[in-house]
Amino acid sequence: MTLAVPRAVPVPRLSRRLRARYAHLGLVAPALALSVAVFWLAMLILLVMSLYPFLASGTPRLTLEAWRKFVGDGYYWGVVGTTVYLATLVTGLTLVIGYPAAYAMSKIHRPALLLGAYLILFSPILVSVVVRTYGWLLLLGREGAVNYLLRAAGVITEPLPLIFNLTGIVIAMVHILLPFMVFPILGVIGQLGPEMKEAAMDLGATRWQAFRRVTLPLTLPGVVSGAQIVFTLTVSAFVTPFLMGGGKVQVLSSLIYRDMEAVNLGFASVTAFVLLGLAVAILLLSNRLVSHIYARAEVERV
Amino acid sequence: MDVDVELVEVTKCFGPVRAVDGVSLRISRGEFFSLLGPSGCGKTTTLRLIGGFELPTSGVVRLQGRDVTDQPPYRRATNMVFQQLALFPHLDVFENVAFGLRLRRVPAADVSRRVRRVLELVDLGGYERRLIHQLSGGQKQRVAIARALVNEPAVLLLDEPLGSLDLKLRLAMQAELKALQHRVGTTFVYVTHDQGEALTMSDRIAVMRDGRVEQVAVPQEIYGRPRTRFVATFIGEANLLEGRVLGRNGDGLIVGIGPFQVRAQGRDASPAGAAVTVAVRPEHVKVGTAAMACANCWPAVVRDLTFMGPVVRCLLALGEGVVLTAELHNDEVGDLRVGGAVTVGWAQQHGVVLQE
Repeated sequence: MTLAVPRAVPVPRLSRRLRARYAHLGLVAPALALSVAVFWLAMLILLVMSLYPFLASGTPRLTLEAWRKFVGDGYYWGVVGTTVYLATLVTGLTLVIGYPAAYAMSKIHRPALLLGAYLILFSPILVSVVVRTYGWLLLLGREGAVNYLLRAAGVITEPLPLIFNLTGIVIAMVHILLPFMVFPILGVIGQLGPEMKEAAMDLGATRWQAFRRVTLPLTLPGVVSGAQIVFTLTVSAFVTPFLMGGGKVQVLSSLIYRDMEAVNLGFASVTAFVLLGLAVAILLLSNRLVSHIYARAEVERV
Repeated sequence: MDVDVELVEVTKCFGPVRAVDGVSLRISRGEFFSLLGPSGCGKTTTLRLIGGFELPTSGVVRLQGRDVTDQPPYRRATNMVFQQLALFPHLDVFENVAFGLRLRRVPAADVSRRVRRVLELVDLGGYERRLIHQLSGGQKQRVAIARALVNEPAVLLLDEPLGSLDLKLRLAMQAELKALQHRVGTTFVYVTHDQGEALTMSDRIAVMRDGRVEQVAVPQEIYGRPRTRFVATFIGEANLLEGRVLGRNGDGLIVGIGPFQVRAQGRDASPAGAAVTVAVRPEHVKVGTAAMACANCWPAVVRDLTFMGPVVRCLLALGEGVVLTAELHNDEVGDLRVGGAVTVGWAQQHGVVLQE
C-alpha cells in the first residue's frame, strides 16, 4: 500500500485576490454596523412614526396628518426660515472672522507662537457647550460684563438686549463653531506656497488682486468644507439656541424637543425629517457649487 | 549700449546673514546674462532684488535708467519665471498666460491675439484649454515662460527654470531658450548653479560666491582666464600650482613653482616675490612631441591613467611634489603607461595667474 503524500493545497489565485480586495471591509464593519443599526434603522422607525400617530386613538392607522399639519401651517415654515437664517448668519460670520484668522495663522512660522495660536483658537472645544453657553449668558445678560462695560464707557444708557433673542444665539454659536471654520481653511492655505502670490504680483497684481484672483480661488475648497460643517452643525444645534433663545426663539431642534416633551412623536418625526432634508440640501447645493467652480480647472495636487 | 539693469553696491541682509554683499552689475539691453554660483551664494536673492520680491538693505536698483529700488514687483518692467514655476492650477493654459494682460485691462481681442502668438512662440499652439496638471514638465516650463513673455517685459528673470527637468529635456530646453531669447531680443537674467548651462547659453556670466561677485565676463574669458581660485575651480577643473613671482617676460610673468620656472599670463603686474597661484586646465596639458613646442616643458613620470571614453585622465608627476592632471584625447595617449617617462608641457597663455 502506498501512502498518498499530502501536498500543500495552493490557495486559488482568485480567492486570494478577492481576499485582498475585501480585506479592508473588516475594518469598516463596526462603523458600518453602527451606522446601519443606529442611524438608518432609527430613521426608518422615525418615518413610520411620522405616518402612524399611534397612542392617540389606540388602533394605529396610516395618515399623513402630521405631514399635512407641518406643510400647511405658516408658523412651521417660519421656524424653518428662522433656522436657515440663523445658520446662514452664523456661517457667514464665522467665515468673515475665520478666514483672516486662518490666513494670519498660516503666516506664523515660529513654532512656539503657532502652538499658542492653536491653543487660543481650539481650546474652547475642550469645554462643554453647555458650560460655554452659560458663560455667554452671564457675559451678555442685562447686568453682564458686556453691558456693564458699554454703559461705563458711555456708549449706551440702557442695557442692550443681548440674550433670549437671535443676537445672543448668533454670538454664542459663532464663538462655538469658529474652530470648525478655521481648521479646514488653514489646511488648504498651508498647502499654498508663497510663490503663487509672488507670481501674481509679478504679473502686475496688487496684493488685493493677487488675493482675489489666486489665493481665494485656490482656498475655496477649504472655505466650502468649513461652511458645510458650520452650517449643518448650526441647523441641528439644540443646546445653544435653546438656552440663549430662552424659549423666545424657535428653531427646528427646539421644536422637536417641545413635541417630544408633549409626546407628540409623529410631529416631532416630521420636523426631524425636515431638518435632515435641510442639511442634505445644503450639502448637495454647496457640492454643486464647488464642482461648478472647478468644472474647468481642478486643483492640482503637487 | 543701453543698460537695462543696473545694480549699484546692493546689499541684502537677512538677520545677521549678508545674502548679497555689495553687488554692482550692469546688464545691457538684449543680453543673456547669467548669475552662476553654488547654492547659498546669493544669486537667487540678487534676481529677487531685480524683480522687487526683496528690497535691498542698501544700494540702488535701476531698470532702464529708472530708480526702482523701492518699487513692488507689479510696478517693475520685469517678469519672472519661478523655480517652482508657480503656474495657477485653477486656470487653464490660456488664462495662465492671459493673467498679466487681463490685470492691465488689455482689450479682449488683443488678449486673445497676444496669448495665441506667444503660445505659438513657445510651441504650445492648440494647448489653450489644457489644464496645468495635464501638461508634461517641459510643457509647464514653456507655459511659465509664455506667461512672463506675453507681458513684453524689458527684462525676463529666470530662476533655475530648468532645474526640475531631466538631463535630456534640460539640454533641449537650453537650446530652445537661447533661440527664443534671440528671437524676442528681450534681456534675460538667468540664475543657475550649472556651469555647463551658463557657459552654453550666456552672453556674459557673473560668478557669485558668498554674496559677492567674483568675476563678470563672457564665457570664454570666465573659462580661459578665471580671475580667482574659486572661479577656476567652480567652472571646469584646474591644476593649481602655488609659487612666487620671479619676474616679467614680455607680456607674461615668470613664476617659480618649486624648482620650475613657469611662464604664465598675469592680469596685472604682481611684484617680484609675491605669492601667487597658477591655474592650468587639464585639457591644456600636453604630452610628448606636442609638449616640446610649449613654453613650459618638463620631463615627468606617469602616475596613473584612467580611461573615460573620449578622454583619458592622466596623473603626471614632475618631481618636487608637483603633480599635474592632464586630460588627453584617447588618440593622443599613444604608448603612455603607468611608471613610464614622458615630456609634459603647456603654452604660456594656458597658465593663468590668479588673484588671491
